[in-house]
Parts: sequence; structure tokens; C-alpha cells
Amino acid sequence: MAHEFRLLTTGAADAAYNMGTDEAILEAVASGEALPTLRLYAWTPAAVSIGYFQGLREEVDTDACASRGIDIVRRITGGGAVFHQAEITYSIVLPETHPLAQRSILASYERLCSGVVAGLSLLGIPAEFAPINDIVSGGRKVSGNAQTRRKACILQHGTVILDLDVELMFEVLKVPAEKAKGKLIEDVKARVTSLRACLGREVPFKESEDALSRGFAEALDLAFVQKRTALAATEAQRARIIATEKFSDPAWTGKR
Amino acid sequence: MKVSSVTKPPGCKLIRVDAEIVDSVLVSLSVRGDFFAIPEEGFDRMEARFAGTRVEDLARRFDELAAEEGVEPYGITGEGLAFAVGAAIDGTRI
Repeated sequence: MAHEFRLLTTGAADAAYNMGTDEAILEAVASGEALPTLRLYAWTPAAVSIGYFQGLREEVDTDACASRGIDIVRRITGGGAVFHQAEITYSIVLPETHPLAQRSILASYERLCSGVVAGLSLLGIPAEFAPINDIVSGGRKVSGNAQTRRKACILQHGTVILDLDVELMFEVLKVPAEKAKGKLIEDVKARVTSLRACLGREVPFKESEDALSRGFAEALDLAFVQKRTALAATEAQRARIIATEKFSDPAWTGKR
Repeated sequence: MKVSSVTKPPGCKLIRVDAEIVDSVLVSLSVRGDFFAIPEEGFDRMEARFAGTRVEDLARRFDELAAEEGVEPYGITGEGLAFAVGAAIDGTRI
């Protein structure tokens, strides 16, 4: 029997509200107010998100972001710095007691990432999970993912790169002094890919959204008994509060 | 002495450390990087509790604290953290 899920396609929002929304969904699922949820979304303006354990000024050129109108946000999940521009992001939230949940964090990464792998397959892109938290196609990274567990729930979110402006990315992300930026840019171009590069054409956001929702449904046997483009009213209120009080707070963003 | 390093120890993601060490004992340790640890706040508590640890005991202490705080780390290990602090002491860079 398929697992009943809510599908949220919330479109594009700013970084703080996107992260506030993910956390509000986690709260709602944890309290039983919401079904387990798959959300698909985008970022506007472009943004850099850093992992929970990263140092802000070590990873991000904050002046470059400010001058380019690029948001900065610290995630509640670990992992590395991500430049969110031409991409589709998903988040999936489910209780730790859910049949799809795995006790092992490594196993749960693989299980939940299978939705992305299936979605890419529907687009004609062969891909595979690469532990701990990546998805690769032809040996190049096309998706990064990060998971946390709070309130007895699993929240995993990740990106699928639609197109990649590596030069712009390295204008806003700091490069360790030991590595020459030029070499790093060439390294990244060799190790990271995008849907445009894989298919030789632009992949519209809606097409990727449809493919990922179907991919998750097929891989994880989901039945989207609720399909919404917006949060419930109380969730939306919580998302705004969390976005304002936490993800927009310089103390949170600069905590490391 | 205050020391710092940026390393990618074997089996780990990028790890940055800043440490203050007196007579081979950690006075303070700041750990940042691309790794994961769940629950995240548990790792914050671990970080604070490294104070007073002898440098040569760091790997064992990491495992002890992870168990006590219920933290599951990925991309960072006790040996990896000890490597990073050792590199800081040696003045090594990646």
C-alpha cells in the first residue's frame, strides 16, 4: 500500500523563508498536524546556504554577495556551502517511525536520494547515489543532499543543478588560500554537472518539478493525497516567524 | 599556543580547527567544516567539552563525547580531528 504524503510545490522564495518553511513543515509533521511532506522549491534571489558547522566568513565573500544581491543563509543541516541559482531544491520530512525511515543515517540518505535518482532517470539522465550524500551522473555530481533529525522526524533537503555558473559561484564562495581559484574552477567543472550539461538543453523548472515529484512517488511508493502550492495557514505563520527570528538573524548566520 | 589548520583528513570532509593549547592540554577548540553530526547541537556541546583534553587523547575523547552526547558524526572522526589538530601544531597546510 502506497505511503500517503503531501506534495508541496511552493515555487521560489528568499533564502530565509525557504529555510523557515522547511523547519515549519518539520514542526507540523512532528506534531501530527501535517502528513509526511515532499516539497519542491526554488530560490529568489540567488543565495548561498552554508552548513550548520561551517564558518560564515571562511566560506562566503559576504561583500560580494551584498553587492550582487545574493542572499546568505545558514542551514540547520550540516554539509558544505551551496550556491542556489539555477536549480530545483527538494525537502522531504517524515517521522522517524515512518516505514520509509531508516534507523541508519547512511541508509536513509540512500533511500531518500533514490527519489532524486528516479526523477533524473525520468528525464533521461542515468544517475546513482554516491555516499555519503551525493548523486552523480557519469561520475559528476548533479545533486547534493543534507539530513537532520529533530523532534523525532527526519528532514532531508537537497538540490538538483539545472545549470551552473561556476565563475559566479566562485565570486561569492571563498577559496582556500592553498588552492588557486582558476584551478578550482576547472576542477569543479570537471567534477560537477547540471541537467543542461547532461541533456544538452535547458530543462525548465516545471519539467524538473514534475520529474522529481514522479520520481519520488515511484521510488518511495508515495501517494500524494494532498497536493498544495502553499503551506497551511499556521505553517505559513510559523515559517515567517522562523525566517525572521532565526534565519534572518545575523547571530544565527554568523554563529561560526 | 594558538594554532589553526585546514585539512581534509583521510575518510573525512574538510575540517578547520582553531585550538589554544597549554602544556599539551586543549584550553579551547573550535571545529568547523563540511561534515555532518546529528544532533547538531550535540556536537556544539562536544566542542565545548574538549577543554581540558590532552592532545594525545583527543581521538578517544571525541568518541567518548559522541557516545555521551548521542551524536552520530559523518565526515568527521576522532582520528580525523586529531589529525587536524596535529597538523595545526605542526603548522601543516593542505
